[in-house]
This record gives sequence, C-alpha cells and structure tokens, in this order.
Amino acid sequence: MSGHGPGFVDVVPGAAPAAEPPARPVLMAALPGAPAVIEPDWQPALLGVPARASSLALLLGGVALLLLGWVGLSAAALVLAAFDRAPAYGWAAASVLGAAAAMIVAAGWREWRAWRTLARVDRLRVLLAGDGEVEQARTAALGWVAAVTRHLPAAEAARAAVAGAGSLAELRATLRHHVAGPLDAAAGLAGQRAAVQAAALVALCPHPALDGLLAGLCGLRLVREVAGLHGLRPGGLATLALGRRVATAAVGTAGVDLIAQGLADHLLQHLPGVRHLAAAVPGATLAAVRLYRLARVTAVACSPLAPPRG
Amino acid sequence: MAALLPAMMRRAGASVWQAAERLVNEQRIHLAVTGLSRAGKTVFITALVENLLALAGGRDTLPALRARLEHGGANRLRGVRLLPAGAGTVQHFNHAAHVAALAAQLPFWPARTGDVAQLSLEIMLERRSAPGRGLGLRRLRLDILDYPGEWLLDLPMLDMAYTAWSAATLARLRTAPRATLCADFLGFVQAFDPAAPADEALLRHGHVLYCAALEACRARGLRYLQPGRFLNPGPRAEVPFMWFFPAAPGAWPAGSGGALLAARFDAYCRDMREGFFEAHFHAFDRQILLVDVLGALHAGRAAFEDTAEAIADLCRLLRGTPGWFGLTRPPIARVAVVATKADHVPALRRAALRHLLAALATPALAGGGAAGGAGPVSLHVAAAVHATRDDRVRLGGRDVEVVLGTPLGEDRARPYFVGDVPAGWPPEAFWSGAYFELPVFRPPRFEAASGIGIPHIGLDEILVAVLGDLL
Repeated sequence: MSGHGPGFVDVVPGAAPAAEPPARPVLMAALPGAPAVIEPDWQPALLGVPARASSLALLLGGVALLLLGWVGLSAAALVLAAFDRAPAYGWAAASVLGAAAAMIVAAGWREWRAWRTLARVDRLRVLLAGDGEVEQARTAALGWVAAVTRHLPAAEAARAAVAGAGSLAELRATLRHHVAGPLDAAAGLAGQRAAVQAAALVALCPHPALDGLLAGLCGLRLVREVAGLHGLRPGGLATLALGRRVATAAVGTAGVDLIAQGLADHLLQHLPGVRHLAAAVPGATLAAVRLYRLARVTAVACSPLAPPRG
Repeated sequence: MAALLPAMMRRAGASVWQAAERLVNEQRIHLAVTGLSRAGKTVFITALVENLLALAGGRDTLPALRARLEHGGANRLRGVRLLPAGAGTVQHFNHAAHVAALAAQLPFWPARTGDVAQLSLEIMLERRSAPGRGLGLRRLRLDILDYPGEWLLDLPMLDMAYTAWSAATLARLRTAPRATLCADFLGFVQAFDPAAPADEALLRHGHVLYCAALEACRARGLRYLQPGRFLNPGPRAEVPFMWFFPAAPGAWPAGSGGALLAARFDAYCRDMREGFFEAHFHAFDRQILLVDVLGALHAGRAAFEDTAEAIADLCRLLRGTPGWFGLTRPPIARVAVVATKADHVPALRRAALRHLLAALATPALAGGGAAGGAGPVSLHVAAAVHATRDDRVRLGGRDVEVVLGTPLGEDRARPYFVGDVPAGWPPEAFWSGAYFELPVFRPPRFEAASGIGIPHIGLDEILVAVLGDLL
C-alpha cells in the first residue's frame, strides 16, 4: 500500500505487520542531491487593467458595421435585380456572390480556430500558474503536447512524462524539460536563420530607409514560424493578438537588453555569414540581433510556462 | 486688511472642502496584530504589507482579497501606499528594514517585537455603485499596530493587589514543569523575608532570578507568564518600578522589602494602564491574534495547556469581557485567530491544524461565531512566509508526506515530518512523546524590488475575514 491511498489490507499469516509512521515529529537528514535553498513555487498572475470599449473602438466598430451592412444589402439588391432581368442571370450572380461569401466564411473559420488555439494556451498558462487541480492542467497540457508533437524529438516520452505528473510543480518541470526546452531550441535555430536572412536583405537593400520595412516583414514571418513551432497557426487577426503578447513578453524580459551586446557578439561568432556582412554593412548586425531576439521573445509569448497575462 | 479677507476666505473654504472630502471618502481602521512570542508577528505584518503593495502593482498575490475587491469582473483596487511616519508618538514599524532582512543574500527572520510599533497604509478603492463613483476614490487608512501579546496578559493583573497576585503566581510556579525551571527563584523566595528592611541589592537579585525563571519557562514553551514586560520590556527596561517579583504574602511595615515590592507592583500596573491599555487598547477596531499552535503542541502537555489558558484569556479580553479594572472595552468588530507556521505542515494535514486551533480556542469562543470567516471571530491557518515545499519520502518503510526546508544555519534542505497533528484536543496518549523544538527554516529567496510579493499561505483569507466588510 502506498501509504496515502485508501484500500483493504490483506493480513498474510506469518507476515510482519507494516511499520506505522512515527507519530512524533522528525527532522530527517538531508537526502542525496537535496537543494541548498528551497525556491518558492510562487508565480502570482498579472492582473489585467479593466477593459472598456474606447471611443476609437466604438468608431471603428460603427464604420465596420456600416460597410458590412452596405456591402451585404448591395449584394442582395444586386442578386434581386439580376433575377428581375433574367432567372439565369440571377442564378449566375447568386453563385458568384455565394462563392465569395463561402471564401470569406472559410477565412473567418480559420481565424476562429487560430483564436481558439491561442485561448487554449492562455488557459493552460493560467492552470499551470495556479494552485488548483492537477487533473485539469494535465489534460490541457496533453492537448498542447499533441499539438506540438511533430516538433519534439522524443514526443512519446514527453507525452508519457506529462501523463504521469502527480502535481502542478511536477507538471511544470516536466513540460519545461520535455517540451519547452526542445521548442525553445528550435525557436533559437529559426531565429538564427532569420537573422542571417535579415542581415543579407539589409546588405542587399538599395536604400537605408527600406531596412526597417524588410526587417519588419522578416519579423512577421518569424513570429508566425515560431508560433507554428508552439502549435499555434495564427491567421491575420490572430497574428495581431500574438503581436500584443510578444510585446508584453518583451517588456517582461526587458533584462534581455542588458545582454544585447553579448548576444551580438554571440551571433557574430557563431554565424559566419552575419560576421562577413557586418564588416561590410553596419546595419546588418542590428537587424540580425533584433530578429534573433524576436524569436526568443516570441517563444516566451507562445509558451504556457510563462507567467499568465491578466 | 480688505485684501487679506478673500485669501482667508479661500483658505477657510479649502479647509472645509478638505474636511468634507475626508468625511465622505476616508475611513480609518486600527488593526492590531499580536501573538505570544515566536508566533511571527513582525514577519506577518511585513508579508501582509508587501503582498498588499504587490497586489496594487498588478500581481495576484492575495487571490481571496482580489476576488472580494472585484465588481462586475473589474478590480476596484486603485492603489496601496505606505504613509509617511509623520509626527506620531508611537514607534514606527520599520517595514523597509524587515524587507531587507528577508531579501538579504543569506535571508534571516526579522527581530522579534519588543515594543509597540505602528505602520500606516492607505488603500484606495473604487466604489461599487456608479453614482458613488462620482464621489471619487474611497481611501481606507489602515493603522497596523504591532505589540507583544505578553503585554495583554498583564491586563488581569491590573485589578489585583500585590499580595493576591503574588499568592496566585507562586502557586503557579510551584506546579510542574515550572517548579523545576524556577527552582533557583523559588529557593530565593523561600529564604526571602519581606518584612525585613528593604535591601536594594537583594531586591534586584530577586528580580533578576524571577526574570531568568520566566525566560526559562518561555524557552520551554510555556506562555502564561506575568508580567509580560519582564519578557518584552520595551524601551524602558531599567526603570525602578520594574524591579519586583512575587513574594510570600503577608502584612509588611513601611520601609520593608515587601512594602517596596508592593509599591513597585502598583506603579507598574499604573504605567501599563496609562501607557499601553488606555493609549492603544481602546483604539483597536480589528484584531489578528497569532498563535504558534504547533510549537505549543510539541512542547508538551503543560505548554499546550498553558497556551490554551493564555489564548482563552486573550480572546475573552478582546471580545470585551467585563470586569478588569474598568478597562472593559466594546467588543472588537472582528477578531481573526491564526495558527501560524502552517508551512511546517503538508497541505493535506493543514485541516487538522485548524481543528486543533479550534479546540484550543473553543473555551474562549463560546458564542463567538468561530465559523472561519463569518461572525466576529474567525479561525485560520497561515504562514506569513512560505519557506518550505511539500514532498514525500520513505520513513519507517512507508511513504509519508513531509515538508522540505533548509534549517536556519544549515546549507542543505532537509525533510521534516510533522508527525500526528490531532484534529481536536490531544488525547492522553499523545503526551507520551518527548519535547520537540520546531525547526526554524530559512526564508525563501526574495527580491525586494521584484514587485511579486512574498510567498505565503492564507494571508488573503485572513484579510478578507478581518476587513472584508469594509471593502
């Protein structure tokens, strides 16, 4: 018997009874590998600022409703007018408009799925940061592992370790070791690739004013790539939401700036392409460092192990 | 003169406006925090304040309080700030120094409470109703008073004559285990003749022996020790009226040692009444009473029963039991009795600790509504600083729940098995074990400026129980 679960105890004749734990308190000797300091499992969540619809949001919502209403009513009027002219003409107009509407619905469906995936990661983040039931968190964690399986070198071992986690602390440690670690490494590689690309593009760019635009486009692609590594497939709107998370994570990891110079040195040392370009084009290093850092920050923003947002 | 008149009117108008604004928006609450020594009063207040500041900074450090402060899904807390010390006459609670102690490279526990100390906080809240919000933010000024609980135990002394107090105290000292611990002092009292002319050196010697006897009792886990200021003397430890001790009762002529001891006893009682009870005790609105239940439990039967007696008296006093020297005060609106050091007990066994606290405080709480949140008196289990982590190890051939902590002065974490925590008054068989001193674990690493508060157990529920009706 494990000592903490209920169950029947079958008395075996002749067998010695199981030793009872001592009723008196005992301060035991340190176990092998015991830590020097107990780190508190303390991650108070960030509280959100109460959200209220701003005037700008109301204005944009009104304009969007006006445009959609206008387009929808005009389309209906167009189909009705076409049917007035000739039934075949009407069916043709209805088919064209129906196909267009179906494409718009499909795009919306994809966006909605992307939003749901983001929300699932947020929920897992809250569950992992809290002190509630491990069962719920484990189920959510298994869902996340399933979504990132193809990016994990030992997916089956990771799944088994997560399924066997008995407490929230154990679950967090397991996810960090088996899942977040490999994904972070993959994000680092993606960042290095993007850094080389960005440095090359900046070097080839005919005008310095376009440097920022090129780096921005590379950054957008990189954010989507790292998000994909973490099981997210953001569409256009979901990418915007992800961008906000990345910005929050960047604030949270502001200490990174302190080691920016070290990072630049690391990139120059380990990426020969960037080193050669940096020698020729001064702006190339800056673009490369920014892209590499963006990959790291995006990985933090996409990971359910980061502190939860409010 | 004519030119001055408008300026004076403007100033008067501004004063009236400020007074009216304070009347509408400001509320002042005196929250007293006390407990018998080693209950962790200072660190309790430090963690409470630090977590309130972190909550105002946007961290969910006190979830139950945050839930109480929510209205329509939005947090109504708009800020918490420490108020400057001003020109007060009470010693200032040095919060920054206590935080620095916890955030040191090798963290250590802040020094114990030796005197009354006060800290003031301002909590800014948005009102619940939309029309009320037009009045501006509500400001709850929280004056937190830290004072040694031993001093409260002096209250029953105040309406006693010296001879009656001496007789009761000596009778108590002659019971086990006090008799052994106070053997030197009891030997001295046996030989001391109170009717003889006062000998200053002899009286001082008797006082020193009595203080040493009280210290030995405290070290052994005993808590009902009078006078409280002999153990926590505060800033005026060497004033002559402190130099007394209980002597064999009798009638003594003027100029005798006994007469001088009685005069000193009367002066002590007068000073406590005027300097502490009338100055502070009458002002409390809310009270948190910390009890080291585990320490008392493991210190043995005498210590446990002694603590129960002390707690019963403290609860009776705080609930306004009439009688003592006209110092009856209206009942404090809310009292939270808290079993501290809950981090020495694995989470699964903390319910038993709460039941044990209930058993300890029940005689004093009869009719007090100790439902754990509702009613004027609530019971809680808490650790102001969570210094351990739950774990399981093999002990005696079985897996047992332990807590893992680094004992103070050591460099490796060790498992601590708390043993049986009875979920009620301990049965006779429980007291067969030897005296065990609760280990003191090193505080966890903490960064003073991190803004994420201090890990704790149950502080939020205590705050809701004590202040919930005002929020």
